[in-house]
Amino acid sequence: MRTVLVCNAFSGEAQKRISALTWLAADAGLCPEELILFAPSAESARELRQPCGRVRVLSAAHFETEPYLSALARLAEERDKGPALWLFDSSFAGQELAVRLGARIGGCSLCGVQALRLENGQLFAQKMVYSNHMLGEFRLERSFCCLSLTAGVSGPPPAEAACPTLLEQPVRCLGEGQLTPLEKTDDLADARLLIAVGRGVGSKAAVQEMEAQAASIGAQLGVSRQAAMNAWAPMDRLLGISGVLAHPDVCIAAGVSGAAAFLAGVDKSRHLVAVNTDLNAPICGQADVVVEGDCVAFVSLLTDLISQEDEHGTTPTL
Amino acid sequence: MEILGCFKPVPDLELLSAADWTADSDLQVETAFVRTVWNCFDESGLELMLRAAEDNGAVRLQALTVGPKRNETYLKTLYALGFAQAVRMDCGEDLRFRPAFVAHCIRAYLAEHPEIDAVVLGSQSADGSNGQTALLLAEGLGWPCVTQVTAFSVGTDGAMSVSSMTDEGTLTQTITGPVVLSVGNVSGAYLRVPTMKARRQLGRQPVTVLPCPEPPSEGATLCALTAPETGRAAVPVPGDTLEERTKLFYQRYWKAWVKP
Repeated sequence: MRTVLVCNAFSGEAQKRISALTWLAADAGLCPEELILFAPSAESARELRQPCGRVRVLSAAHFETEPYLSALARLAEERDKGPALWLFDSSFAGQELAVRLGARIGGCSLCGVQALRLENGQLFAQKMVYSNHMLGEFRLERSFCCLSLTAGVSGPPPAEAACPTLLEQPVRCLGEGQLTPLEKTDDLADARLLIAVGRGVGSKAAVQEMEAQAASIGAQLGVSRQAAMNAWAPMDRLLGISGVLAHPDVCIAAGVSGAAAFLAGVDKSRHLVAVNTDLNAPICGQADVVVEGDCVAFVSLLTDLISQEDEHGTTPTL
Repeated sequence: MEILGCFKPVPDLELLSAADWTADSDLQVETAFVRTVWNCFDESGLELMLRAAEDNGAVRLQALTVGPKRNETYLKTLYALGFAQAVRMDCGEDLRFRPAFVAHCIRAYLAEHPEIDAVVLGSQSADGSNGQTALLLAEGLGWPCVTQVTAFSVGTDGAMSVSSMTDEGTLTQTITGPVVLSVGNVSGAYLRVPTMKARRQLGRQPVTVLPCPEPPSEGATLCALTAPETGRAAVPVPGDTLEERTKLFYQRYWKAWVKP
């Protein structure tokens, strides 16, 4: 099956995305023939480890959906008409383009894929459904398949192809709209220590207090969807399948019920602690360690203990 | 300007226990015993529509859902909130993983209602998690689509100002002409609750019920559904008070896990 990888290199993390795409394809026994990169120029693409012998850079000053979709559609129309798989990365652009290209070319699509398998020429894809509670396997029914990856897929940097052929193809964008770049903040996804708070915290003021306490011990603060929807914290602090996927050494889930959609954001934690007054909350069955009690009080007590030891170098008492 | 909001009531999945997450031989998860709620992204879309109408009196709102009769209570609520038209396309089938069918139904409605200038949908549903309906609809209509929408308004000239999250930041653009808006995470956009007076005065309007068109084939077919393993031990920290438990957690776990 002819396999093409499509990666949006405009917004950073391009190498991670290429690695994830390469790994997913290899895991299914597929050998990608071409990598299509969205980037400002071919020069910017040369820094990346290219897993394919053929790399096509669709270049423009910035990404715009409609011009890039049109460019991809032309490329797809020019292809041989046999079975083909186009794998898109997990960016917003990748998710959108996979579906729209699949429909435009008369193929099929699936979003949020985490695994593939090929059986007797038939392609199957796995993804989480029911807000991350269940794993579904889908049979792809058309010969042209466009799949976008879920954000949680990762893989080692790919082996670099020998002498990849680099083609640059400019894309004419219209420059419409006004873009406010993402503010550079501490990257929640890379936090080593994370305190994740939910509705159980009770108020915006409590969340702000916990953020200060988290900072005092070198931790970052993330929130569940309920807390973000209540505007207790900015949406960029949202953890979960529609937010940030973190992989800290330690995550303390404080006052979080543990909906599966949230758990997807913290389930790669090395150590996961649940603090809750309700031991029947789903998070209490999903954590390594469970502490029954008020989450606000727990975080306050814990940070006091840590601060006392840091100050005096002795085991503190409560 | 006419805006159509499409929504889907979904089971309140937070009410299911760990033991409930099993699929039967028909690949169904039993959810009939829990209440339904607004799908969260659709809910945000409907609230943004109401705000747009509040700001511009020339904006008229319609609502559409594809599903069984029990979904009409949601349409009654939207009437009570001031929607001018509330429509149900009657369908008793399993729509969880059929975004092409749902998009086809919406297209069929739009074909009969050329006055509609914009369609608002949530980015995905809690159960199907497809993330495709708005995009398939846009492709079928030949309309532009803006995804991860966080806000929109309608100017006096009828042009829409739309803000959305992109991979590079927040994009604000002005759109003239028909468009599909797929709503993402919007802070503080819970759907308002109508007053009892509004429910009595407006909520009793009849819901328009229409048949569904013949369904197209879907590009992907569900063939297995399983609950993933979790694999963590869930060890409780003992102690009679929270102070005791916190201290024990600190001594036994935190100091072992977190090296200075």
